This record gives sequence, C-alpha cells and structure tokens, in this order.
Amino acid sequence: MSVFLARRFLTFLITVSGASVIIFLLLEVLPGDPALTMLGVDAPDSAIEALRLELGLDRPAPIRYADWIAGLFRGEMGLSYVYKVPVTELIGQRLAVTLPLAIGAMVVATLAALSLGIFAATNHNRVGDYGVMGFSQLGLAIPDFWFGILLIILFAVILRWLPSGGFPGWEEGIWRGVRSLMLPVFTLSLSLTAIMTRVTRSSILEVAREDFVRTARAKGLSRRAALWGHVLRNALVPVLTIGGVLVSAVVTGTLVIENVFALPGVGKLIFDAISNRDLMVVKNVVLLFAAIVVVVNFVVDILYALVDPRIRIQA
Amino acid sequence: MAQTETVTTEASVAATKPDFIHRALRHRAFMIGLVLTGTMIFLALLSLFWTPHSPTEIVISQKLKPPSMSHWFGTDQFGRDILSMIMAGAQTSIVVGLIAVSLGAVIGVSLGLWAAARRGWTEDAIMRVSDLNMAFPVILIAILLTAGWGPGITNAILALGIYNISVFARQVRGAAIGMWEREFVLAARAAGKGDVAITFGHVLPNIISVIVVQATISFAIAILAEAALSYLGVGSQPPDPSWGRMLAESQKYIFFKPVIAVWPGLAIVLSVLGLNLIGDGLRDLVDPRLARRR
Repeated sequence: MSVFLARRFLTFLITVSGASVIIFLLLEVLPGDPALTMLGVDAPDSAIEALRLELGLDRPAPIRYADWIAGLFRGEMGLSYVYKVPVTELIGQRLAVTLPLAIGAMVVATLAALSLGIFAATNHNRVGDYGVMGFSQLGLAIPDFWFGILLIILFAVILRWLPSGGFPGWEEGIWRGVRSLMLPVFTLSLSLTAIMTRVTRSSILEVAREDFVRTARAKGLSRRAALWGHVLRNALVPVLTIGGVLVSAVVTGTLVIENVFALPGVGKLIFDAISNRDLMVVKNVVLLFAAIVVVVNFVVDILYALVDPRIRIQA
Repeated sequence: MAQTETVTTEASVAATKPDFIHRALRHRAFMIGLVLTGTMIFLALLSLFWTPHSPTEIVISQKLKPPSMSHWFGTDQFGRDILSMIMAGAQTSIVVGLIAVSLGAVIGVSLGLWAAARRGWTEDAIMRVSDLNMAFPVILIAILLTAGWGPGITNAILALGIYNISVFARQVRGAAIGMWEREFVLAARAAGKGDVAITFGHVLPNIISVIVVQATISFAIAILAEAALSYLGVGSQPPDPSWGRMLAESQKYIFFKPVIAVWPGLAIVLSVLGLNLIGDGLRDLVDPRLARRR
C-alpha cells in the first residue's frame, strides 16, 4: 500500500506542477507581453511600461514563475490589478457563495441519484425503470444554463416564488441567502443526478447477478434484505470511480451557473476577470480549480484502492 | 493479411453480420437518435442555401414578435427570425463538433495505440500527460485561451479538441491493451510482424467500434460545451449565429418575452439527445452481450 501511495502522490505532484507551468505559459509567456494583454494595444507606451514595472514583468519568465509558486507556498497570490486587493481575499469572499452552491448540488444530486438508481434497478425493465432512464437521458442532454433559464421563467417570472438571480450576502440573513441559492443548486444538480443515477442503477444490476447474491437469496433472504444487506454496499464502490467525472462537472457547472444567476462567486469572478483582463486573478483561480480536480482524483484513487485491494496490487 | 479478416472479436463480428442493419432498424432508441441527428444535419445543410429569412438581418420594426405564419418561432430583440437563426446556428454546432472531435480523435487514438503497443515508460509518459490534460475541464482551457488571446470560436474548438485528446487516448489504450493480449495478436507476433503492422493490421480494425461510439458521445458533449462557451461569451462571437449566444441574449428579455429563450434550448437538447441515443444504440448493436445486461 505504501508503494502505491507513494507512486500516486508523485503523480499528483507532477500533475499539479505541470498544470501550473501550463497556466503560466498560456497566460504570461505565449501571448507575448502580459502588460499589453492587460491594457490593450491602444494604451500609451508609458502606461504599459509602468504596469510592466509594477508587475515585475521586466524580470525573466522563469524567475516570475518561481516567485509565483513561492508566493503560493506562503499563501499569497498577488494583488488583483482591477480591485487592488489580494487575490486570496477575493477568492475567500467569493467562496462563501461557490462552496454552498457546489456542496448543496452534490448533496441534492447524491440523494436524488441514489433513490432513483435503486428505484430503477428494483423495477428493472418496467415502467418505473424506463421513466428514470428517460429522465437521465434528458438530464444529460439539457444544457445546465438553459435549465437554469427555464427555472427562472417558471419560479421567478411566472410564479414569483424565488429571486431570478443575485445574492444578498449571508449577513442579510441565512434564509435570504438560501432562497437565492435554491434555483442555482437545483440547476447544478440536474446533470450530476443524471450521471450518478445511471451509474448507480447499472452497478446495482451488475452486482445483483453475482454468485454471492444468488447464495444469499438461496439461503432464504428476501429480495429486499439481499438488496440492502449485500447488493448496495458492493454496488456503491463503482459509483466512487466517477468521482473524477463528477468533480469536473461541478467545477464546470459552478462556473456556468454563477453566471446564469449573477451570483458573486468564484465562477463570476473569473469571467469578470477575463473581461477586465485581470490576469493575476485568472491565473490563480484557474490553478485553484485545476488543483481541486487533481486532488479529488487523487483522493478517489486512494479510496478506491482502500476498498478494492486488486487495484493497489495491479499498480 | 488474411488473418485480419478471419480473426476478429465478438464485438466486431456482431458489427459485420449482415443482420446488423435489420437489428439497427428494430432498435427504437437508435432510430430516434438517427432521426433527430439527421434533422439537425439536414437543417444545417439547408441553411447553407436557404433560410426562411436572413438570420443576421436586423428589422427593428419586427422586434420580439410572437410566433406567426411568417415567423414560425417569432423574432428576437433585433427583429431577426428565430427559426432562421436556429438553422444557421446548427452549422456552428456541427462545425465546432466535427473539427474538435476529429482533432481529439486523430491525436488521442494515435497516442492510445502507441501506449498500448509500447507499454513501459512510453505508456507511463502518455498517461501522465493525459492526467495533466484531465486536470483542465474544457471550460478552464477555454478561459486560459480567451484570457491570453481574446474570445473567439477557435478557442472553443481548440479547448474541446485538446480535452478530447486524453478522452480518446484513455479509451483506445484500454481497448487496445485488451487486443494485444489476444491469441491472434500473439500469432501475428510469432509470424514475425512488428508493432506497427500489428497495430494497424489487427488492433485498430478491432477497436473501431469503441472509437466510433466515443466519437458520437464526444460530439454530443461538444455541442453542449460550445453552447455553454458561447453563452458565457468566450465561444463564437457576433454576427456568427450560435445557439448558446442566442440564449445569453434572450435572458435579457426573460421578463418580457420568456418564450424566445425556449427555442434555442430545445434545439440543443434535441441534437444532444439524438447523438447520445445513437451512441448508446451503437454500443448495444456492436456488443449485444452488453445490451442484454443493461
């Protein structure tokens, strides 16, 4: 196990470092002068020169890269060029919206997917199963931003039950915050639910055909007892393997959904930063998201090896 | 060479049986997918020659009109005909999907085949690069390209293409490794064939079905992603018609004319659904064992 862990950890380190190099190259080296990118071609030379000095762009790229990484180890991400505040502070404020959105959607999706997946598997090839599978097909085909727009039309424009967007801030009261996040959470959970439902269903069907389940049934266990006692705990292992897919979906989803509902989260921050050419913010937020994807994949690998010894032996 | 024709896997045997077409015709989901996708392609091709109105012509006097005989889906805030815009938007979706998936497939399949043929450190290196690629979901790649070079449809294509490289590489490597362990490959090796000859003569022909299924699903994902990127303003730019941007623009009028936000969304859903149904159907048709288990 320790060899496996060491190998995985090494891969993890290489991947995160590689990601940081790619981000740096794509933003600060390949497009040419970052100061020119930030100010635009019409800016006077003196302004560009001043910004170049301010950002330390007169130093060679490898040194700037090393500075950036050293800063990250000290917990510093530099100053936002537009807001003139530390990028860490900006991200910290915005996470107060992004984290509840992401976690809320994961919770809703997990509960819905497990219920739907179990329901479909226990009604295999019957109307209920077809219904659930039809729903998951649709869930995969509906773009989440359009689903969000439809929810706004229904709940904000027609029924007027919930706000169409924006976020008042948690200091305005928990309930007002939760109300603002309801539609975004449901929107984000749609595609997650669709993916997880399919995996849960097919995994239960797969395990239910195993010999040990047949033995349990032959012993006299009812279908229900066999399902809850034997099938489920084994069937949930493969659901773990799509952890990586899910975290990609959540990262992508929050970026899109925050823009649909004008939520002041990290996803909105990065798109505002693109319009404002605030490279310092773009660079650090993209690395943060890429690192989250890599960390979750790493954790999923470890968990998977813990529950299935064959994986770590093969590795 | 005769070996290739006679020794194939069960999966491709199923695919080459003459009754394949008959089974396909009886596969309801596959046929629905075919009709939906066929309609999208037909509308895109038709829009090259004819649309009910010009998809870009601004007629302010006709703005935000409800559906009528002359404008079946109504008009947008600039008086443009929504049906014509949707027809022309299908072109953008198809072009982006085709180029991005081809880019990802050509490079990804080559890398996957190479990894499976060489194993050892070559495979390790390819898989580590693919891990790195997977750390960047499509949208992050598009953000980086846009921040560095400004927005544009090329970013969407490149972002999707780059992302698809690792998707295809992983799929193909897994399937190809399975082939390398089969007896007919051992026989070819014993007959003195090299890695390249075996890869192209025996491995690749037997995993074509895997690649086709993946291409269909990647195409569907590409349509969704292109729409999302254009919605966010980092994909296709005006005046190029795009379903994603139509939705972004319609959202500004959501309190006055919510219906204009419905049509482009429906076009996306039906196209993606069509491709997903084809992908699922193909998987069932080329591997009936899987279909029975599902």
